This record gives sequence, C-alpha cells and structure tokens, in this order.
Amino acid sequence: MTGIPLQTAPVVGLDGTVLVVVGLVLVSLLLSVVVLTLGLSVREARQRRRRNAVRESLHDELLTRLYDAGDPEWEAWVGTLGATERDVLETLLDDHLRRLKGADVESLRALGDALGIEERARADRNASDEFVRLRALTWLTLLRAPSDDADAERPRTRRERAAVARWLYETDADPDRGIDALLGGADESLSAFGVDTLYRITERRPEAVVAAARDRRDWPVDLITQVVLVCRYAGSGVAGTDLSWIVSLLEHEAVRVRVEAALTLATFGWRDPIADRALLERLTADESPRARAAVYTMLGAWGDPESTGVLREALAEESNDRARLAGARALVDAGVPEVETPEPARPARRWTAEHRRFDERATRPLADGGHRRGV
Amino acid sequence: MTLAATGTVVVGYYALVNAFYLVVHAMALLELRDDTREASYDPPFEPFDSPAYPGVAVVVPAYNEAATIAESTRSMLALEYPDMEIVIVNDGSTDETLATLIERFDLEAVDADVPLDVPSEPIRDVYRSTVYEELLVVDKENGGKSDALNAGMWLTEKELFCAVDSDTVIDRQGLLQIVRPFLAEPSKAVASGGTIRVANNCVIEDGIVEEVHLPKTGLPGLQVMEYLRAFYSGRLGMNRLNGLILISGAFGLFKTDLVRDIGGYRHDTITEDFDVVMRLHRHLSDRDREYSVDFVPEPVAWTEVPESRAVLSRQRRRWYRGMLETVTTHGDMLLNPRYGRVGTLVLPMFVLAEVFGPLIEGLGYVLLPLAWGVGALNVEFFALFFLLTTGFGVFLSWFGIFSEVWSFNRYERPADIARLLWYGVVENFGYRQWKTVVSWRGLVEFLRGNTEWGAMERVGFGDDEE
Repeated sequence: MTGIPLQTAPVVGLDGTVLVVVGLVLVSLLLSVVVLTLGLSVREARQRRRRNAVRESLHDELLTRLYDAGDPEWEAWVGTLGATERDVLETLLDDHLRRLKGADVESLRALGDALGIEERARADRNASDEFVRLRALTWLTLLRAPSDDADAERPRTRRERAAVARWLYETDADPDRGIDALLGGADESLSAFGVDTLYRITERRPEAVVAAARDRRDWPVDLITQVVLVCRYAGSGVAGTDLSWIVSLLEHEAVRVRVEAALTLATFGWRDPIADRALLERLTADESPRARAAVYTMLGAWGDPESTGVLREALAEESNDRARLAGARALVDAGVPEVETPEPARPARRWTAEHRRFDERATRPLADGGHRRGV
Repeated sequence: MTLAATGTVVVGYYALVNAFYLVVHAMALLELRDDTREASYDPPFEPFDSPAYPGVAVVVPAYNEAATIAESTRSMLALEYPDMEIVIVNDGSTDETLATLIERFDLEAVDADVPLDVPSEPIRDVYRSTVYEELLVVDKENGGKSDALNAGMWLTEKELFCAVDSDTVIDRQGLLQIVRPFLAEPSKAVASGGTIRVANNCVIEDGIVEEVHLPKTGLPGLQVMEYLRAFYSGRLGMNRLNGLILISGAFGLFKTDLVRDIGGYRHDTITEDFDVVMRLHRHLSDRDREYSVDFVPEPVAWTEVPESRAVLSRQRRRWYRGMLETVTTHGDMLLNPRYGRVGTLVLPMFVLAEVFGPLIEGLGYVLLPLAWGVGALNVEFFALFFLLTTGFGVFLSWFGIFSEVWSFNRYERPADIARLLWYGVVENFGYRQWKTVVSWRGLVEFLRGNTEWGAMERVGFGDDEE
C-alpha cells in the first residue's frame, strides 16, 4: 500500500539506516519469491511435458498387454521403464483399478506387484504422515492385498478409520473387524468415504451394523444420523432386523435424528411396533416443521388406512406451508384421491401431482436413477 | 506539527495493515498446504453410488442473459453430483432469456399455483423440462438478484443450495468439492465458498473449461492477478483464522433451511453475498451455536471479467458501495467479542484495510503535491516509504501467484506466470491509483444513496450454435 509521509521520520523515530535495512530485506524476499515461483513453474511444465509425452504410448501398451491373449509379462515390461514412465504407469494403473472389474482387475494387480506397489504400501502403513498412510491404504484396497491381524491395529484418524474399514471390506475380511475399525470408540462423525464404506458393509452384514448401532445413544448426533441414513439406503436387509432402536429415535432430542429416523422407517414400509395411535399423534404434533414433514412422509409411505387417517387429520391443522407440501406429497404417493385431501392441502397436492407428472415424462432421468427429491 | 502527526498516523496505519496482510498470507500458505495434501488423497469410492452426499440445488438468477443462458444452463447440467437440482430464476428479463430456455430445454409450464409463501416478487410461472428431470425454471417479476435467489431457494427442498451467477462456468466436479465441509462436519458447516477465476480467453466448450489461458489484454490480466491474490491469499488466510466473512455470490454453497430462517437474502443491498454471510455469523453467534463458514480453494468457478475501464469502474464502484453498506449495517459487530474472531479481528481489520485503505491512499495523492508545494514534504523519506509500501504490495501479489503455482497450477505455461508476476509490478503504476479514484466515487455514490447495479456487458462463452 502506498502512503503519505509528511515530515514523518523524526516523529516516528526512524532513521534512514532502518529503512534501508527493511528495504534490503524486502528486495531479498521479492527476489526469492520470483525465483521460486518461476523455477517451480518451469519445473512443473517440464515434468508435465515429459509425462504427457509417454502417457499415450504407455496407455496403448498397457491395454495391448492386458487384452491380448497370452502372458502380459508385466515384470519384463516394467524392467524396461524409466522412473518417469513408472510413475505415469502407476497413475494409469490407479485409474484402471478404480474403473475396471472382473478378470482384468486380477491381471492389473499382477502389474501392481511388478511395480512393487504392495510392498511399498505395506511399509508406508507405519509412516508418521497421515496422507502417506492413507495413500498406502488406497493402494492396498485397490490391489485387494490381503490384510492380517497386525494390519487391523486401531486407526489413528477419522479418515484412516474409513480407509482401514474399506480395505477390510474389499478383501472380504470379517465384517466385524471393519465395523470395529469404523465405529469402535467413534466419537465424531464419519467422512463421506466412511459413510459409503459403512453402507457397503451394511449391505453385506446388516445385522452386525444394527447390533453395533442399537445401544449407542451416546454417539454424537451427526454419527447417529449417518448410521440411520446408511440403514435407509441399505434397505431390505436392515428392514428384516430389530428396528426398535430406530423407532426410539423418532423422539430423539435432535431434529436431524428425528427426521432421519422417520425417513428411514418410511423406506422400510414398516409400522407394527408403533401402531400406537397416541405415539403417531405425538409425532405429528412435533414442534419442528421439518420433523413433522418427515413423519408425514413416513405415514404416506406406509399408506394403510390408519396411517393416512392420522396424516389427513394432521394436514387439516398444519400451519407450516412446507410441512403441508410434504404431507400432500405423502398423500399423492399413498394414492389418496384429491377429494379425501384436507382442503388446506389441496393446492399443495395439485402442485405435487403436476411435478410427479413431469418426473415421469423427463426423457433424461437423474444421474443416480433416483427420484427428484424436490418440489 | 499537524502534518508530522498526520504522517505518523499514516505510517502507523500502513504498518498495522501490512502486518495483518502478512499474517493472513502466511496463514493462507499453511491452509493451502493442508488443502493440497487433502486434495491429493482420492479415496477409492464412487460418489455417484454413495448415500453420503446431501442434495444440492444450484440456484441461478438470470436477468437479460439471453447471450449466455443456454451455455451456462448446459454447464450446470453437466455438473457431476449424485443428487442435484438446477433452478434457473428468470428475474423479469426484458430480452429473450426465458424464450431461449423454453426452446433449448423443452420447457413446459407447471399447471398449478406455487403452494408456498415465497418472499419474492410474484412468480408468474414455474417450468419443468421434459428432457432434463433435474431442471426447474422460475419466471417471476423483476426484483433484483436477492429476490431471484430467494425465489429459487424457497422452491427447492434440497438440504443445500448453491448460489451461482448465470455468467459463471463451474468445474465439472465443483459441487463434489465445495460440499466437502458439509460432509466433514454435517452439523457445524453452514456455508462454503470456492475460488473464482477469470474465464476471458479460456477455451470453453459445452459449458466446460477445456483450456486455461491468460487474457490477451492488460485489464483482464490484472484482474487475474487480483483474483489469485484475493482467493489464494486473502480468503484462505481468513479461513485459517476461522473468520471468513466473504463468500462470492458467483459460487457459494449454503444450508437451505438456515438461510430461509434468517429471511433469505436482503432485497435492499447490492452486495447480498457479503451481507448474507455476515447475517449468518450474527444469527449463529447470537444463539451460541457452534458453526463453520469455510473456503475450499479447489472448486473453481470461471467468470467473465470486464474488459473495458468503464464497465470495471461500474463493477468496482458497486462493490465498494455494497461493502460500505454491509459494514455500516453490521457496525455493531465491530470489536464486539460476542462475535468471536469475526468481531474482534477480521471485521475490524477488513474495515481498516479495505474500506479506509483506498480512501487514505487517494487522499495521499492529493495531499502530497500540496505538502511538496509548501515545503512540508520530506522527499527522501517519501521516496523510501513509497518504495517500501509498493515493494510490499508487489510481494503480497507475488505471494498469491506463488500459491497458485505451488498448489493447483492452472496456468501451465511459465510465460503466463511471468506475465502475472509482471502485472503484480505494473498494477502499482496507474491501475491502483485509478482504483482509489473509483473507490472515492463509490463513497460519493454511497453517500448519495445510489443503489444501482449497473449493467455488465457480456459476450458469452464460446460458440452457441446448437
């Protein structure tokens, strides 16, 4: 910033020498930054050029060896490659291991061996740098390198918990070990990768995850919410287990948990343990409009006369327009005709029915193949 | 004596502000180191198959954007995200914006009234695409950008909404990246912002930035350097200090319920992006809630910057007026410990540096010749002081460019980096003096109660011949 010194030096007690020294320091800093910046840029550009120059031919050779009949002779090929080529080949291998499935992957794992990746990754498991350990776990997972008891030592961070659990999951280890790595002693929420891993484990062993979650009301709200969310997506497997723990969460102190519990029970289409009308009426009188909206969705998803009866009564009194919209959507999904819809909810019902019509007409559905969870 | 005292105050002021900038830039470097390490870790799972990602509505206000709207809508539709809705809000455009959307995306009006009490100008119609299930278009009476954002935000039920300018192109994986704070701390995260970069002269095809180039001319080139400095130094540093007070309106992600709870965007402000973040800080601090407002450096949104001085002046005057307006509105948060680091450190320093900085500098350009004329100027000291402050300014600019090269390195040619470094020097000779004049004009307009937005002239990205 440029300034306005007006006969300043004597007043602030600065003499020329101080300013000259400061100036010299500044000039040195400027020179350092410019040299570093340009040097780094040139180095990066050179590396990028080198890597780009070999990438295409390596890729072609990789595919040829992978798909042509006969032994790909990875060891022999890798032996002919220089450092940059090996480095690029590792990135290509990483990319293909994530995208390909089946026998191709088996062959690519042998390439991983030829590059010495597994051996390096096992050594890096004990590195002090978290990201070195995480990258090692990623390789072990992609290569489906078997784990042993020593590998199941307690992970040190949230990210590492997810990475260890995924490795155990992908190598078909005992699911309890994966659940223990992910949820054992957990005192914070899961990473996105952790949620996804828990979802995969839940699909494979729903009863083990439910057993781990059942008595853990001391978990933080975010973690409870994530576990219930996972149960919702895992669907039928969880529906066959004892769900009383999710029912009890309908009256949890946190709105997020109540919402997630109701939406999960909606997915299961399941209601016996809460046939108690008094409980349903208590739930539809929740002070939170978001929680009420989720309960309406649950009642509509169940769709039986008793549930829709409670839903219609609640909607006749509903004061929040967004909760009313959720209720109207639930009535549409339950197939309740417009004449049986409470008058205040009819505009919302017409709006919902129109959007459902568009959802069905769209020629390009949502990327996840799911439904538009919106208006 | 008076002149000497003035000079002392000014020297003290510059020392304080530059020391703060230095701390912010150093913090930014630490933050960038952590972010690049995290970005280098790519866990082996596929987000599209995962239940971990909350729904996001991309809300795009559009006023007279016929030239760019089809391209930007295609760009939004190409975003990679598992649960996404695109809400384009036509804010009473007088050009062909709506007609273009109807024609290009096979829209049809929804034959039902909106059953929600939306705090915006009347909604004329809501359209759905018969091709793209995730596309919703709201046609409403003109009410300004805040009003349009409110309409879009009220009509979605996604847990999060992403405010995006219609002249903005987002990297394909931008949403997957900007959502990261919400995945890490679902209860705490309330807002996150990404980096804005300059799109002029980049090659953009089908709404995707295919090649990154520096603009050919100086004015947009200088803005590239300014943006790098602002995002890779300023915002990253403030993020490290847990005091982010700015999320660009061109690309920011928010918790939908929470922004509705505070009444949505205010209509009577021209920097609604700054204001809404300040109101979130206020709302959550007043309720003693634990929360975070985050900056994530590598979701990138690309925007066209002004190529003419007149348009740039209009934009910067509006920014300056808006900044004054927001700072005045939230004046009671200044030095108020109730608002944590935002109230006690970041906001006061922001006011000192960004509000007063250009005004004091402009004043200096007037006073110096006068002081010289009456023989009150210590010329030798002035020359040294000018060199030091300019040198320090260049150092901070270069710091931002170094951060870019060290981290995400989107400008791959060393010649482009050399040019950016050069811009860091030349901006001190003419451009920054011109900006002080613009700030003073902004101040005068603010005092006169001017609340105009002013038009941005846009030519659109790439070809649009579909």
